[in-house]
Amino acid sequence: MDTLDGAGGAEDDGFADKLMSKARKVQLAAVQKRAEEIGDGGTSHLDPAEEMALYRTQTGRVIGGDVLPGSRQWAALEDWYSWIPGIFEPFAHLPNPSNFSPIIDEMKSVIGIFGGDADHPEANYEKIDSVVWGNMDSTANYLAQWRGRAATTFDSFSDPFQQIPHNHCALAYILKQGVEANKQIFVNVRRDICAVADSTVAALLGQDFGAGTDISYELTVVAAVAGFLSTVSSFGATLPIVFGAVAAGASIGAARGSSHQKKDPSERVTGSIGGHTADTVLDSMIDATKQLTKLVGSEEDKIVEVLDRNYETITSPNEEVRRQIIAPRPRLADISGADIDTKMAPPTLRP
Amino acid sequence: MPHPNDSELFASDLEKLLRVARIKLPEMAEVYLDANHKIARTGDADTTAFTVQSRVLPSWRALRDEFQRVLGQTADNIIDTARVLERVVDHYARTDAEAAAALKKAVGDSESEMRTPGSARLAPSEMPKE
Repeated sequence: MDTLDGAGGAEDDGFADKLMSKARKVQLAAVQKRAEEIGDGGTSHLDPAEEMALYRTQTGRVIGGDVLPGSRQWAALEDWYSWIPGIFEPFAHLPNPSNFSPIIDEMKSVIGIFGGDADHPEANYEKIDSVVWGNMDSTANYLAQWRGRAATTFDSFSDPFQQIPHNHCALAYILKQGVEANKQIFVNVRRDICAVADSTVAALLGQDFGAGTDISYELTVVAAVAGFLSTVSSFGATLPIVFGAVAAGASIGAARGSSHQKKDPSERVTGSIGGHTADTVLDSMIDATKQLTKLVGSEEDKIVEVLDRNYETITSPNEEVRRQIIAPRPRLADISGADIDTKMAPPTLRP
Repeated sequence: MPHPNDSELFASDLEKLLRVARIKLPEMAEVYLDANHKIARTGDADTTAFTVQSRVLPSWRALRDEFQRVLGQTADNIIDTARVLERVVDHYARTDAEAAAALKKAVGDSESEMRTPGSARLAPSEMPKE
């Protein structure tokens, strides 16, 4: 999950402070729990390294009685668990989801320019037709009255415009959906990592000695991409544009033409934090953060695959496919002044 | 109603062609230029939003850049066509003084609608990448 570390560059919306505050609560809860475990009446033996940190001895036994806040042993336990905030640190630098909004707004505008409606993508064919094709059709009809090769071949340029605005709308929609899906990943993973921290604190503080606790939470990140990329919009597109095939778990080939396929986004995946001791609870916390990192990566891969397949489509060497995304340059655009008489003659004979 | 003479018919043909060159095609080009401009503006925000380490960003950018190239090339084709059509009108207007005068009057009457085909070119920053 490359996006979880590094500079981030995101506008500060307070999430990093909020998460690191939770991380420190986890650290404190771990210290508190461990102090209970190893103090007088506690059930645990000391790890040799831990004993060395707390007592500078290696007897394998608790020698200091209760570990109380403010004591040197308490401070030593705080130091012992000082790695905990570092587990959460990469998540504190997640992209700020609100930073995706300007891109989403621009892509919605592009859809609107072509006559589409990003919020109601299946009800605007007529408007898409009128915005570009209306002008091109009347241009082509008029030029058809002129004579000469430049005029009579103009339809090879104009005809594709019956379809390409629809395809341009569909491409703008894919770009918008890709950004929205990525944004939703970061909205959801922020929620999930906070749930990991909260559940860890609850598991550490909420259990009786040796009884064990298992706290479950929903992993919302797994639903982030499916909700966007499986919302398929055709815009009347004739290109084999790929929308949600990957996100929906279907093969891309099977999805071609399945313009209204939707995935059930109600699929729920849960994670859990639990254990009988502070260290086993913390082990499950580490596993949970690794699971979360992996899930973010796999969700992002779904977006990447959809984007890459669409890129392959619109850069296809197949001329028929290319003509549906960009009309071939008309001969008319390149005739010189000397060629006008022979390549572009008026419909009526000159007086 | 007097029957139009050949010069009037000829002027009418040229005027229609000029309307295509200065109204119909520029309106279409403007759609593609506007879209191109908006796509170009996403370049200002994408690194901030995705972060430079994003695994999605390279694929998103590749599709976005190709789409922008398509939009820019389409706008260029339309604008170049409009400019040639304007040259065609000029060329034929020079062959008939009476038609040229009628055309000049017609253009003057609808000056506010008429645009110069090349006036809406891509700004350098919006040029599609090669």
